[in-house]
Amino acid sequence: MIKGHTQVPSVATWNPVDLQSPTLPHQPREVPADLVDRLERLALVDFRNQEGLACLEKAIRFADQLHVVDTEGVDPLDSVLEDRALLLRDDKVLEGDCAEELLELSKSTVEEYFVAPPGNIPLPKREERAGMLKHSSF
Amino acid sequence: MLSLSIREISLALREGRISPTELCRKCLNRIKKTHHLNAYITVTEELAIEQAQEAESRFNRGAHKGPLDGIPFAVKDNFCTKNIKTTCASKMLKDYSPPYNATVVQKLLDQGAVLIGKTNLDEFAMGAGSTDGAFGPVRNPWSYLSPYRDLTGVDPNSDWVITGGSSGGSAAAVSSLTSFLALGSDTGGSTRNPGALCGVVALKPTYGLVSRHGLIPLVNSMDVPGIMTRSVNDAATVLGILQGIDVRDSTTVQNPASLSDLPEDFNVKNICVGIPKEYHAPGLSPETLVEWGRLADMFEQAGARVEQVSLPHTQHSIVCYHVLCHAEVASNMARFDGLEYGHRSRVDSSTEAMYATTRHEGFNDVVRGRILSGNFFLLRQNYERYFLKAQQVRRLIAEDFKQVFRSGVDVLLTPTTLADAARYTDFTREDNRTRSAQEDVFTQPVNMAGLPAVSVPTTLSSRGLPIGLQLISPAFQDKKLLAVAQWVEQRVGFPYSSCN
Repeated sequence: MIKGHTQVPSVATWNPVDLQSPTLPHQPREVPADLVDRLERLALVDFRNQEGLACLEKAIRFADQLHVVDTEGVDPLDSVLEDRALLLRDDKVLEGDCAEELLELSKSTVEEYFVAPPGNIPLPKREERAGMLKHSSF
Repeated sequence: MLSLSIREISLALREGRISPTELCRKCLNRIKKTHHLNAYITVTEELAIEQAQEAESRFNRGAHKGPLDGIPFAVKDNFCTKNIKTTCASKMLKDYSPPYNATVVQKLLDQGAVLIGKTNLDEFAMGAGSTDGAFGPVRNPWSYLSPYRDLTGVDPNSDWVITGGSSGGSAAAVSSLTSFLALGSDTGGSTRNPGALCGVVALKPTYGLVSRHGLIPLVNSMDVPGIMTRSVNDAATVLGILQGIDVRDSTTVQNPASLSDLPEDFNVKNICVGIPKEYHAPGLSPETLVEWGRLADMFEQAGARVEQVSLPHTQHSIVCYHVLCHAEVASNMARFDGLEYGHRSRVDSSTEAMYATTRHEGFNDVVRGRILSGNFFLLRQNYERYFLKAQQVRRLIAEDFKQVFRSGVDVLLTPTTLADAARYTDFTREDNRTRSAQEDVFTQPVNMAGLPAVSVPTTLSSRGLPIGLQLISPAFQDKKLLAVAQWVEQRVGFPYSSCN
């Protein structure tokens, strides 16, 4: 009998968490309508349909599994390079002067400006947004 | 010729057995022949021939630059290439041509390597199948080879298998012999996963070793450029060229060890191989399990110490990754608003309306879904519960690895994927998020801890498809990692050039 072979466990050593389990910390399943609207405004991305919303709910339920882990006294980890001082380069201008090249990438420019539609206008209400998106074509 | 390694073809070029332009043309022809794989989004034919001619004149003068001079290479289409379309397989960037080269691309070009094309991927590198890009899915070249066809009796045109992802195009390019080297990106396994399923060597270097400047970012704290080749020694050669501080990427660090040639005869008697028990995860296929055991035996019979170890937080890693990934994605995708580059919608009633419709039109469901859930986790009411919590769990996962390596383990041996490549028709039965959560189980903990890992193909499954195993080492021990990987490669005799 080869010893090495027994180091690999012959059966799975854990089971996936049952997302329907009542022992999972309970969170309201559905995302309320006002939160849906808020997320769409923050993200400037729409859910498109009921499926999109269901996807979010599944994602939240999946993430809820985190709460079974004991993290008492554990510092959050921002970066795996936290234990070292990273390089700071000299404060010298090495490149630039490429406004023309960059402006060429935009669909709408005037002289050295990127042209944007008028600002400070909030997104229309959710019902009107659906209409706006439906008419956009791509 | 096309099935040779970089080392071998470089010798052939120096000895004049083939010229850079002949080699380039062979690769371009092969790309045309393997068009059905959909591995490439853009083939840079004219540019490649130009670069090959320049390489040729260098060789003729006896002034070749180094081991990569004249060597055709491919780049995943989320790395910026100057004046060459860089799409991220998304409508958002389908006509975008960056004004600069990613540092890693520039370094390869500076070595005289010949850019042959930009490879296909899941849109914005989100996915584990290379099935969700705007230009269609990538097909695994092994679908068309006799082992798979004979053993399963299927018609590959209707029942092909996936490459895995998200760097599927790069893996297919190297595997189908259209390129000697391909760059991928690896955030949760996106280089190692398709590497394993397509039977190529796939290296994820230590975070910080290789510049991310010009790699369109997904998760800044985890993204790493990945290297795919048909030999471990080739991967080491490329890493040696790519690694190093880049003033344009403040997260790059200097590798303490230089990457000279790998030892030809590495002695495993001096090392301890750890088998993390939690990597027998639910869903691991029996064949991959057997292969894992076979390799563990191989190490032990050669005199290495092989020990079972524990990485206790492994099963929570995928959830942790899910939250952190979505949160960083939500932030990184905010730059796509149609104003300065990329797609722009025709709606112009207000900036907000223009941004919203641009993003509605430009992003697919997967991308939009991740942005929305990322924004959810970052809401003030959720930030602590989800984002900070995930960062705490990330530390526990990183600590698990540190602990195991401190206890005397030199390298960990694990599966790379749950099984061999799935049929496209099977894979697409579940949504992208579910599949990513399943398929990334062995690979993403490595990204969370920032460690180097390599997937080495070791055998073919009973369906005639590649199985790869993963080796993981402590941070910045990439060279030792590759030395061990080469030892494995020398003993398993994987048929890299089957795609001939």
